[in-house]
Amino acid sequence: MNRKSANLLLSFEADEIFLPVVTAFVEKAASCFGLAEGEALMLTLAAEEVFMHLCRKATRPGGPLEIACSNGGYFARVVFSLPCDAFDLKAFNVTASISLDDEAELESMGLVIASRSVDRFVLEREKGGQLRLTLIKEKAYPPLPPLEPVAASTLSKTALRSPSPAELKFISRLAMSYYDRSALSDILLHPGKLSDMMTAGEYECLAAVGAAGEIGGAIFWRRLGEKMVECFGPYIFNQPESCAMSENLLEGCISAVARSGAVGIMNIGPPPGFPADQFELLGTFDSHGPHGSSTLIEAWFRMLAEDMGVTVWVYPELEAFICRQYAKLVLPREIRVDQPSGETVAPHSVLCAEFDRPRGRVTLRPMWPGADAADNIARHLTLMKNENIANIHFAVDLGQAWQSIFIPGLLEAGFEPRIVLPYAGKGDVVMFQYGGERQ
Amino acid sequence: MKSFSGLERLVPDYIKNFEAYIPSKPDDELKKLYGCSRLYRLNNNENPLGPPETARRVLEAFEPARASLYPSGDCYHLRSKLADIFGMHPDQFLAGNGANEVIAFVIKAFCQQGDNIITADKTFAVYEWVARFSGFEARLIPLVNYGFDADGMLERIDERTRIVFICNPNNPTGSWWDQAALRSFLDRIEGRCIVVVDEAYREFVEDPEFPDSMKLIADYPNLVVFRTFSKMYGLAGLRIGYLAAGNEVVDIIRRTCVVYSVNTMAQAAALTALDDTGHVARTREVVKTGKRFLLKELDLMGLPFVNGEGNFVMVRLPISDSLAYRKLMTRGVMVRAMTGFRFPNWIRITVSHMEALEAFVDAWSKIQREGRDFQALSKTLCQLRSV
Repeated sequence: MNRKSANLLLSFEADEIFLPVVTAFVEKAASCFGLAEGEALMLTLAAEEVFMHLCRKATRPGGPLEIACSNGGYFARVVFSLPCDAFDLKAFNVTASISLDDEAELESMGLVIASRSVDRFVLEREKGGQLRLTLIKEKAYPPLPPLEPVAASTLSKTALRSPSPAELKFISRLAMSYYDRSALSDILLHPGKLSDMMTAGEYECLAAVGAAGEIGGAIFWRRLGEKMVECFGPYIFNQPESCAMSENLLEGCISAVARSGAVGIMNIGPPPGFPADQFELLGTFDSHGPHGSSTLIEAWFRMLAEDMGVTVWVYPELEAFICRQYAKLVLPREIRVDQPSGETVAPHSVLCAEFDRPRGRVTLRPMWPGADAADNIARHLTLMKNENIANIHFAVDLGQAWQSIFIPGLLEAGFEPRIVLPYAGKGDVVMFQYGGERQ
Repeated sequence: MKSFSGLERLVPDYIKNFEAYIPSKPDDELKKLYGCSRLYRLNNNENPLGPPETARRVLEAFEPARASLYPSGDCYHLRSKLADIFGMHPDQFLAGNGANEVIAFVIKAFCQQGDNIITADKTFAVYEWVARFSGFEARLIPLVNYGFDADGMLERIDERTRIVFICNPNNPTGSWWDQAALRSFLDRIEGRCIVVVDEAYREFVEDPEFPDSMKLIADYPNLVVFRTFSKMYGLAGLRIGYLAAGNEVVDIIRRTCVVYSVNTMAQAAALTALDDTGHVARTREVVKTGKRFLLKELDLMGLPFVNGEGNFVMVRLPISDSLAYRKLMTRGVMVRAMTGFRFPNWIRITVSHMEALEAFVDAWSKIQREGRDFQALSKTLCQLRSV
């Protein structure tokens, strides 16, 4: 058995009596997967709190519960799966706070601790009323020491191949030598993590390599959900424009994923010299700098396969924008205009927040619908503003009708729809950007 | 519906890592999807003349009552006829539900865990797919000048290589090995593995230097030849193809062959299709005329192309092939986007009848014009913004 890629499963009845088993299971698994003691304990703490909350609030006494631990290479993952009726997950919002005077809120303290102890969490509702709650804790990587810039030589002939782990680190240094850090994908700033991500198969890379092993350029990509690939680059190091290395790297990347089952590939904010004729421009985001500067970030996309057409669920006020986007992209879609009609929903919604602090950016995504959707958006907005995050995005999956409950609150708060990312979720995803208060 | 919690445990890793191929929707659905009233199919290299007249008559006379009877389980009469035509024994032939099925027969017959097959990176995808979803490694050798690279393939052969697949002429580039090249390759293989030569487009080639693979079987007992009735003989909808090889090899492959998989109507149509000697010449004439027109128009439109043997031409576009596919679909023209063949920004056009080719040229001209108008408008807007 490959210990590193093991998927460990604990299947039992949800009963607090099993708590020591759960904590031992998660801690030992995290440790085996390579998390340092501190991270393993944080993950264990989160798992403990979630388990206790689920036993008390979410399942019938003695109901079935599965806990799976798996190794993501640069992270360890714990997944809770249980049949579940609605229960309040409000505490998983990054905005959640607990009043020590409120006994009901105190009961959620554990979830607040859990959500702060891990790097990512995902809530998914599956068919048949099954709930999947995923906790992810990443390994800690040492900060990158200051490195001398390195130089690349001009290459007359190159071949494309996957780089070795050592070459990968060198590519990271080359990228930092030839590009402004703000123009680089985050992955290139953490070479150790990148190496682990590649080993885990989360990222792939092609490098343009000369006869003596010199590196002239590279492109990276990763799978994003079931149907989408995201690529980064191509990054070219000191090569003449006429050499077509950019085109070759991009074609190599597309060819590598062409028979992978992914239906599309996107590139958001590509570096200068991106061979745009192979892609379609989806639109732009504003990128606000810390001192009031602003640039446009382009989002590019292309299909890898024939478009089969999908159904999208669209809130009425969004219909005109969506129709314009689909007409521009020549994407056939069955557009179903839909909005909440007074049906019963949980009182509290949940949003997850993905932070990209070097770029002052956060992307919010709906995890759970709730009657407080608009207020929840407003709370998140206030928090992000207080944290001086200038670029606030919100992703709504048009393939999941329940997410339309967030649209009125988004529009009211001053978010604007900017682009549609085909197949980036269960269906197409519309990306909003906060543009300021509505006048 | 109740979820199947134990499913994951039952699925082999090579299946988990394999994504199902989703074929195009039927024409009526596509027309609805893209809002077009008629659809010219230039995507599958189908014969615009349809089946030969002899096969048509058989199909028209087919008695519905025969549908209740099982077909010949091993295409008895068809194999006998093929044997007569090629001067071989009926037992040297195996028919399948399209040539795709015989690919699976061969891989199942010769590969076991840890084995590999070798083919090109940019060729018909099914050799690679069947190998991968059966749990075998597919070693993909880059084409050289759009053709199969004999040296590259020979370099990658090892003791676990069981089959080399050569598509001759290659779909989609149309490149081909002549008799000398194929013989040389087989000589260098020295019987270390099975060599499959897929001749799906063989009947479109008039060049006398094209290999007579059926005759080569006598000299090379490790050679397997694939043919199909889907292309030249216009029977794609009935799904029938076959392989030919030496007795010993066929005897092994027969063990993995699913009998009764070729239906009665397909067998009857294929049997008579071979009698229509004029059909091949007529189809070749259509392809010749169509190519003459298409290549001239591609030149006029400034589109680079790769034109080899076969009833198709590969065209390089200045935009993404998948976008071109969608734009052409809205104008009722369906081509093959080539990203799936690892040729991003290329499309493959079937050389069909003139009306369809004219529809393609007209549609693409309009798309190009719109593209230029859009670029001019964007430029003007940028200039206005900077003022």
